[in-house]
Amino acid sequence: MPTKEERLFLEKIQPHKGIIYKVSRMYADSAEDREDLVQEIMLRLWSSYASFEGRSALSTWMYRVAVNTAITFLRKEKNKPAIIGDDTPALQTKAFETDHSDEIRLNLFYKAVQELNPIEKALIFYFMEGLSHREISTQLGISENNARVKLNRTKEKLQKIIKTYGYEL
Amino acid sequence: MNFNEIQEAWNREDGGGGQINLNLEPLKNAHQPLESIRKNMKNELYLQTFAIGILAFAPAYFNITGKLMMAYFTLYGLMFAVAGYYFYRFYLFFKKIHNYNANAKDSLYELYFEIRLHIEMYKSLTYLIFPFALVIGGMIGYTKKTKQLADEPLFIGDLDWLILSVMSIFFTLMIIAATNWWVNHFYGKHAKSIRKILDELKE
Repeated sequence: MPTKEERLFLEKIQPHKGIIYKVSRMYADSAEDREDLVQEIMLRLWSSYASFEGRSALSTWMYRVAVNTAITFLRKEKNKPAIIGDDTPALQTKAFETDHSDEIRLNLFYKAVQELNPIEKALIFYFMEGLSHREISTQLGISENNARVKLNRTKEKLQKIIKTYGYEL
Repeated sequence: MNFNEIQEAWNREDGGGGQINLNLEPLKNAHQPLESIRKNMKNELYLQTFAIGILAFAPAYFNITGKLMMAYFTLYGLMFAVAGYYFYRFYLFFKKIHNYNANAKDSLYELYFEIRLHIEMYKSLTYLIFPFALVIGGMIGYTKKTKQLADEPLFIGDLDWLILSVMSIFFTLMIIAATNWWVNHFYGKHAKSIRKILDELKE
């Protein structure tokens, strides 16, 4: 049974659980690892919550903790990276060539993202969440110019990866 | 298809919807380098503590008496003090909560520093304890030998001393090499992977 503090914390986190879900999809390619990463992020959020001073939005703080946790997350060794997982069945069907639905786009995107390194994943994640170059640089602790250059390179790399799947981006 | 289309799909995604269940139940396995290192180091330090505890009963078991016993416990006390200091430092390391609130670069540097520092501390603990253990082992061996061969001199000549010195140096070097291999294999890999990630952040 969660304590009163834990319940309050879970209620506050609930509206932003999309952050945890998306970070886990970007950093873990198997359902088992994703489940563990979600839990790991939750535990890190909880252990860091006491030091959250409310100077930034809760979502901004959650970005940091979630991404910092995911960057150093240790996946189970038996898992092979960057394969089409059980959650991407549409990719090998006829629909892959014709259907451009959200699900297919995102499955393709998440599959390609698995080939990026942890920092590149963070850059793309923040970009997708709509953060500016300045905000990305603050989250990563690098200069704005460095964030811009690295993001552009990562986007190009992602385009090339997706191209190898027979798609243009 | 372009980035805008993917971004729109990303924004429309329901954020896990009912797919994730938020709770604070602890995980069975360690999924962070720090947790993994702490878990393994803790187990190894329990073993070392047990071994040091056992050594306290060696004089009674091997019948070490008189001045040799005093020398034994003086050395044992020193080893205990050194190990105690290190164990306390490790206790603080195990209790410390890593700062995940910082930006990625600071968080990673802090993590890297903590891991490197405690890897080196772990090595130096082994290097410091081993000479004590070697001399204590020598005392036990001396006692056994003098009891078995009471009427004969323990060492016949310079050659015996030379062999003893060479063997001590050999075993010390073996222990240093084994410790380095063990620590680098089981703990150093985490430091290396974090260093690699940090390098990705460079201009």
